[in-house]
Amino acid sequence: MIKQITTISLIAINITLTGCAISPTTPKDLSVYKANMPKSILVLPPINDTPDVKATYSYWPTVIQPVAEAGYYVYPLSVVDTMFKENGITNANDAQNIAPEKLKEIFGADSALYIRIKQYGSKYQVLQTSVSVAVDAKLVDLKSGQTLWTGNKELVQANNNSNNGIVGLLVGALVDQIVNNLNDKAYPLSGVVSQQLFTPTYAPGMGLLYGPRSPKFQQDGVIK
Amino acid sequence: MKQYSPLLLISILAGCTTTPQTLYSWGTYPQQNYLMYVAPEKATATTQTTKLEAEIEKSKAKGLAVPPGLYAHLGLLYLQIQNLQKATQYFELERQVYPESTVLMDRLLQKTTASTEKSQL
Repeated sequence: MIKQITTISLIAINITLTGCAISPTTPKDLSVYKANMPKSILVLPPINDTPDVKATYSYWPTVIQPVAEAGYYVYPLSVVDTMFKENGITNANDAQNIAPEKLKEIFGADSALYIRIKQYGSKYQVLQTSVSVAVDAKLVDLKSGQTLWTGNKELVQANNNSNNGIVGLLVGALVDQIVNNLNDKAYPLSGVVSQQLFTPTYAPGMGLLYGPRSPKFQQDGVIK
Repeated sequence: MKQYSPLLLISILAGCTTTPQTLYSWGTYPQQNYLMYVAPEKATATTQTTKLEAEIEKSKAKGLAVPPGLYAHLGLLYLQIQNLQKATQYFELERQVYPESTVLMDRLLQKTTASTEKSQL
């Protein structure tokens, strides 16, 4: 009974705290993730399912920071990209098709993040312009090939959307003038998508769990 | 009712952002990664090394941690402009600060050693 109340109140807190990301939470099974807790995460080049050719290299850089801040070692994007290209792997599909044990051998990573970009860019309509970014992500243990965690996130930023105030505020804080001048509105929104998708959540498992380099490691769901 | 709204706004905002306290000082590193592919003329190897090294100095002065991968990224940039000595130093530094990177850094160090030997012939 007490446990039930705790669960319910946790969900209630989560709904309040997530604010702009209200989705029904079915508790995830995190036992495999916890039993195979990775120290390091190799973020593979995201597969682009959108018509915008920029999507892979615009979205990819936004993943590194929230994953590292969650407490994992994250391999540098530029080095990963160079390694693949020097070995004849020139697109994200090919990179994500490499056998897990081979990735482990080359990079020494415990796990890898497989990401697909479902939406990226602006839609111009008569009355409003909207920017949207949507991604699916999967964390895979490179030793066993088992899936440790999955997640997805979609954000739309529209002119006359009530959400615009908050998302707009966050987006504005993330980029400086140089990037702003490039006028790629989906890039700053990507930063918010990645932060919300990968940052550990109050109800454990919506985001990643805290990794070994975080002071909150193994304290997921503990409220102080 | 009115007096509750600022509090509500704060709690909504808190839900969307990470906690303000971060493990690392990121500076412009994530943005350099974006620029080097999307607008490479704005993030050449020399522009990046100058900017990122200045940021690292500032972080160190404040006692803030350098994020995973940044030293290795600098190593790669120096490799691109044929400064093998600095490339080696940075790959070694990444390996020392982040032992999780050992396999990859050893690979890169082999490459720099091979290039050094070749340039000495």
